Amino acid sequence: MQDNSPNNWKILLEDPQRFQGEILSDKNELWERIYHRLHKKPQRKVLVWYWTAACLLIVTIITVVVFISKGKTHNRVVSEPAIVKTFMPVETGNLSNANENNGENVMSQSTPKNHTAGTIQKNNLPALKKSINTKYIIDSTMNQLPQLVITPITPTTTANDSSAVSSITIAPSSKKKLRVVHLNEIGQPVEEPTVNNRFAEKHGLAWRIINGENYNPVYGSSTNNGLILTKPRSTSN
Amino acid sequence: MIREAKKGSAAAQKCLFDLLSDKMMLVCRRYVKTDEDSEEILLDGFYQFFKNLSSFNYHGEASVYAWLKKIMINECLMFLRSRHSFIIATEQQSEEIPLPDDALNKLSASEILNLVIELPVGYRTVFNLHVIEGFAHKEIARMLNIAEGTSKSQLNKAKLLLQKNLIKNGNDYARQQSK
Repeated sequence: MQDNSPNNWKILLEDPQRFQGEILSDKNELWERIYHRLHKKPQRKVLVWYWTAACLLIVTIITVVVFISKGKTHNRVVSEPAIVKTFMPVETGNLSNANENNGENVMSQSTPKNHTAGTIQKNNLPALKKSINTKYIIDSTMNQLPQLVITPITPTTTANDSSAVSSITIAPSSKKKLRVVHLNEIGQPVEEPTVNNRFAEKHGLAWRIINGENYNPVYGSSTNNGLILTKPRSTSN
Repeated sequence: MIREAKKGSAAAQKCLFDLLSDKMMLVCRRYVKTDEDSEEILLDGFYQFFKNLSSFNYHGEASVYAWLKKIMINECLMFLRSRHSFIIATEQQSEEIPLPDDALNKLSASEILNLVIELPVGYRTVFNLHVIEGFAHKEIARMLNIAEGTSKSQLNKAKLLLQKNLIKNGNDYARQQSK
């Protein structure tokens, strides 16, 4: 009786001599394939990785540079004062008057109505005035800029009190954020007046006489020098 | 030879290939049905063998054979997984079935190999790993990511099918011999 243990199966199936050379058809061909796989140079693969890495590095550097430059620009714009189209400096001693008259353009949107500081004296305001004078705000876009909130000052508080100044806080506006524009970017470019124009502005009358624009000598009229300068009448009338 | 092959000598590598390729081809054919797939697996296995030969510690001829065989079995299992043909459903363990005693004696090695190859992939893999390679069910379960009971039940079913086929082929063989 045949022993049918697993070892018997193993001997039967693992002995190549039992299969009488019918296992591998062409050993040499198989060896050639293995040899080519083993000894081929993966140069192209290395080159591809090299170029991929180089491209990634360049893209990363460009991105970092762009972000850094953007960040610098943003910081510079924020640190610069806001822009002025019309500005009226605070000169009055009374802070309430300043708010009502001069500061309207500046802080009319944000100044509370109940803001009164009657006892603040003129001489005690330099710090506050200075801080306001250095702020330039476009009044046309006032409602879209960060609002300047001034907390009410009690009547006993004086302007040289540091708390009065420190009580001015800028609250971030919840509205749409507008682009901060530099002063030089506003309005049309102003042309430099020529020498003739400057002279004409300064000595308008004499210049017009020299040019003979409105020089109409009228004899018989009662003037000291005998010259009457009148507007030229239109002939149609 | 191993030392030379480690240095990258093509002649030594070819000698090793000539020496071991037949045995390794038999291993591959037990796991995979077609000869083309077996050859591809053989090439992959030898490629891995020569590539990683520098990290191999030589402890005699048997160690080389065992290491290369392990590489081949792993390549076969990877191939079966990649073909999605290696899904074994979890089944209850059944009673162990003995294989027929005298059937192996009646058939040639090629016929027995064909009987093994004709088994379904799950049966065949577990049968090969347990009966031929000698792995325990616990190891097989870990290698194939299946339950231990599933491995046992797969083996029993493989044996049942083999028994049936062996008797059938053995009787045919006996009839041929009597004629």
